[in-house]
Amino acid sequence: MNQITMKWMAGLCFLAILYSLWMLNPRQQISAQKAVYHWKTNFYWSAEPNDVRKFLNAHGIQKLYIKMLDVDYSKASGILPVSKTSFNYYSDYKKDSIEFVPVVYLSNEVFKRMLPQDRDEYAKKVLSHVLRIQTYTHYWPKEIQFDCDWTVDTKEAYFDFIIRCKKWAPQFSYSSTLRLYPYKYREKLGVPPVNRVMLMLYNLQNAKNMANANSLFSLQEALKYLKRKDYPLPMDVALPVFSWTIIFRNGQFYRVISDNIIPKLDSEVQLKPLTNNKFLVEFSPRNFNDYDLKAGDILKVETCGEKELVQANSLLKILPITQASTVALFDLDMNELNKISYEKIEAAFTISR
Amino acid sequence: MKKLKPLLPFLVNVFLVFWPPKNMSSCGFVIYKEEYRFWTFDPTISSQPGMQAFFYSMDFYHKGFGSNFSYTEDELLPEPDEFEENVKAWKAYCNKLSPNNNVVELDIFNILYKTEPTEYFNLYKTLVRTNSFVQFFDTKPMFKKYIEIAKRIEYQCNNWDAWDCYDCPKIVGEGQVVAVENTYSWHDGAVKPNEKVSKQIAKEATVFLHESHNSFLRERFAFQLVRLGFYLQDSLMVANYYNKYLSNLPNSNWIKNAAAMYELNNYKGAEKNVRLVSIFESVPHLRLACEKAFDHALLEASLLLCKTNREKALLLVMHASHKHIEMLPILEQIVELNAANEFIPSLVIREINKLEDWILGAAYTEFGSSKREQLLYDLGWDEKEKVANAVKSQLQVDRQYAQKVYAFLNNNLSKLGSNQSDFFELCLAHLAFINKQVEVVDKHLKNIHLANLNEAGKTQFLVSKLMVSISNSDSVSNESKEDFAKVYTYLLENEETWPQYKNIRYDLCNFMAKECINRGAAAEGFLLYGQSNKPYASHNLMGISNMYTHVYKYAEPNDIIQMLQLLQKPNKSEFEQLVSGNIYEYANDYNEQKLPVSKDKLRDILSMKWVQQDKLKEALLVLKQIEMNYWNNEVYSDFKQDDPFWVSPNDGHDPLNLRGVQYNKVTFLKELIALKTRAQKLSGEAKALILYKIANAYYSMGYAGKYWIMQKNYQLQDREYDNDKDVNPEYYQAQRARYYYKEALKYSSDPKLLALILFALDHGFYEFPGKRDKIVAKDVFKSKSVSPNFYEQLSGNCNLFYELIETYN
Repeated sequence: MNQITMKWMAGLCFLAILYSLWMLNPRQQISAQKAVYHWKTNFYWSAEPNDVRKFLNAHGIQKLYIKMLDVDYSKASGILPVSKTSFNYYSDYKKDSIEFVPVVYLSNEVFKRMLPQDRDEYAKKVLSHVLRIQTYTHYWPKEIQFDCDWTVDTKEAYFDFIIRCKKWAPQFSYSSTLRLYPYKYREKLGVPPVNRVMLMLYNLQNAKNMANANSLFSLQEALKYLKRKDYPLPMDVALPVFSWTIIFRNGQFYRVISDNIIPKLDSEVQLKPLTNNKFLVEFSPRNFNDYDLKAGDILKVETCGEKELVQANSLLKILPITQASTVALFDLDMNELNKISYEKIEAAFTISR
Repeated sequence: MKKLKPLLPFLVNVFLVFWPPKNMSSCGFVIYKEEYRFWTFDPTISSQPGMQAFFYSMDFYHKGFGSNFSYTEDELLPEPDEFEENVKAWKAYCNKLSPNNNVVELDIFNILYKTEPTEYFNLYKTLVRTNSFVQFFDTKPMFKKYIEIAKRIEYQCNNWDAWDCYDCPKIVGEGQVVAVENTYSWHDGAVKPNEKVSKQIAKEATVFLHESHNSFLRERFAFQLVRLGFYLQDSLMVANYYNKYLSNLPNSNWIKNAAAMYELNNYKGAEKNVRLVSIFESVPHLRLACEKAFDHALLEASLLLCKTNREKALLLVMHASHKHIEMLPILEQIVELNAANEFIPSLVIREINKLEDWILGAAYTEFGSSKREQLLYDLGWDEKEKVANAVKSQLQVDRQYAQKVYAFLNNNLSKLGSNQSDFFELCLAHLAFINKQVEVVDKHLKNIHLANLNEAGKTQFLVSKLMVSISNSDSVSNESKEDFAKVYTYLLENEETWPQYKNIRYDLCNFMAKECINRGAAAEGFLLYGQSNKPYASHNLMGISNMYTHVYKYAEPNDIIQMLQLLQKPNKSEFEQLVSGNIYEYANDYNEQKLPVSKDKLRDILSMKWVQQDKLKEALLVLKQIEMNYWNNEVYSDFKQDDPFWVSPNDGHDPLNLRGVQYNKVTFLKELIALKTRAQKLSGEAKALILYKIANAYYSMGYAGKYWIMQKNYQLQDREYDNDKDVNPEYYQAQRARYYYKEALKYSSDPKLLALILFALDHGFYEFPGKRDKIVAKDVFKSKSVSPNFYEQLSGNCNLFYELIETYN
């Protein structure tokens, strides 16, 4: 054996040892179904390649959860649909490899106020609004998702509402979002009568409390809820990559906007920074005021970026999810997603055990 | 084309900015009538609330375009007077419930009129802490319930049912979802609220209405139910609550009348018209709504249903209030029926404002009367002569009408009541002024006891007196000028309290400016235009007109020289200080910025006037006084790269800067004057070449040339109209250039230069075929025994032209 052959042999042995060590590692990686949430009020979809299409193609996203409307209650108006997503669809659904899942956000207050005798009527109304997606795509969705932060008080009304929806439109599959609290306390809060659930690994603290540093995500807070490793329904998981702006008026929570609105404000709006994420509105013009701001309002911007995404992904290994599960990013905000590398986003869809 | 590229952004800019006004409506630029309508008679003198909506000038009604030019009709309406009445009523109610309460009227106003329903409920906890009114009723269940019901009804009446969905599939049965095709939404007519929620609110309100023993709350619950019934299109509900709880209230009660507006739908035709009378009379903020609801076609039938002359007179007031045409016959009928009718002063002012527009507008604005616009539409934009004649005839008709209005008022003065006689004397004085009966104006002004006029009336007295004194002389006296300055300053200082003074100040400036120009004080007149922010020049579009455009168009060189002298004069009088002050950058309300008068800009315009007259040395002398940095502005910097002494006849804007030179107006003129001096001393080919360059320079200064700024303040995409004052054959047809080309032809026998000259004469004036000189190139070459080869090749060989001119560089 000459010297060159010996060097080759030594190299091969080293690689073999490396491979053996790799095989001995107990960690396993599972690739889930990839999905993204679209939570803006304007949905634009065309066949032309744009930033969104490039992102979805690059990561092989299979599902797009599209929020179609919010249903809320106010004493002034009663139960009503708000923030209906305007649809601009210029494509051929047959040729798109992405499945659209329409989503409706139902505030908990809705179920406190909805009279039992009105549930059928509201089920039809809500379904009808969710299925608007068909008017534009000309294809019926397979799945409809309800997003609701239900409580013990509203459990019965919410679940009954779902049952009525299934009665009016049994041809669809139904899913419900699931917060960490009902995941942990399922005996008390029940299991929704749906085909599968989407566990939301974010929005853990009360956003209405101005003092909370970041109500969107905290690893320590999340771990408190994830002691149990099973759930009676097939489970999907949503991970946070988004910003929102909480508006406080007269020191009281007023509303939340699913976006960091600071860079988008009209130039006439005058802000005074209070901390790195809180701003006092010193002046806001009466007209051309897209966000209904008033002088004296305090804006609090909360963001979930790469750090929170990685932390949230690390929780997947202790959850009852399988290869058939979907891992969804919330939400499709290119401003936030562009700040994260391709590899980190790919890693977010992977479940390491 | 490639060489034109650097100029393109500038040309596009010029094209957009100076697009002629004639084409404005077709390309979307519109000047609202209120932006140019002339009026100096204050419509507020009659002190009639709710009539602002019918002022002839909507500008004041909308608080001026400057405050918000994207207004909607209702947005800037003054707060209805009933708001104050209602706030006081609520305060009295609070006092009745608890005499020592701390409720502040502003807090009541904020809750009733400035707090959106959603906000009210969302922020209730805060409001209890911060608003004395909410704090007060928070512990009074029925009171609180009423406010809640009112807010919920307000929401329903202002918002279409959000569940109403145009693009949602329909669920028609279990498992049966039907697709829809529609992706467009539209709403028309009155708001249709959510029926389910509205009916629930109505149910709750009815319970409280029955439970309440307090007439104050009961009336209001009933009003809210009438209102909700109207939006639910439930005429029975409206009639029930109106008849049972509100119809017996006094006719002066505004709640009753406001509810009656909703109840109107239960009536039709003439009967509906008659029911409007009481609302129109009692509820000022609903006067415009009444007029809109009034069916004018049923006037005669409606008059027959009226029970009293007073009612008939009011019906006629409603009919006449919003008409932009002559309403004297109706006014005569009203006086005949009820001379004490409280709306007569408003209607008289309306006629005066119309006459100001129709008669004075023609004299003091370039737009003329707003009627001209209609004539243009009726007769066609291109029928200039027909329109001009029609405008003239219309003016005669309007003058006759003005005399009729004057006669009517003068004859009925005693009938109209002694308590208003000073006001009507003021009207008569202004009418006489419009009719140019100066001596009659004085008579009426002398009859006025100032103490009997309100504040606006006293100011009007000053304005009317000033206008007549200015008109009543051959020249504008120094005394009149100083009086003008005083009135101007008075209006300026008081326009925060009296917003209409702003418009009066502007129109007074336009009036005085024109009078000064016509009466021997042109310099002051032109400068005075800079103090008006109201359109007065035909180029006033999208903010491009200003004092300079007016000076360029109308001033003589001597006027500009006097303007410059005036600006530099020491120890100015008050009037001179006023006219020399900062001027509006643009003449319209969109831009309130004022800048000092640019003497250099005036000098530049003066130089243009001299160039137009071919007085190059005079022009140079003026231009030399201009600061060098003046040429750095963006317009002039665009011309830096052009060589005006070389011109391509195919494209006058081709820079052709083969020598790599840079010019400004001064250096260009210096060189042109030097060339002309040299040409006189030379002969033969050398002279011909210089003459050719001089011809090129004149060509450059023309319409088709690249140095048109030597003669023009702006360049239009199209040639101006024949009747425009600054249409100039030297500019549009470059006649001087043609003269020098022909001179050059005489002295040359060079086949290349001859080719260039003849090529210029052939192609450079192509746009004016009727005025082309008939020079037959073949004959020229033959007479000079020169080969025409270069000339013949020029048309088909673009590069040859550049090769030829390079031989002379």
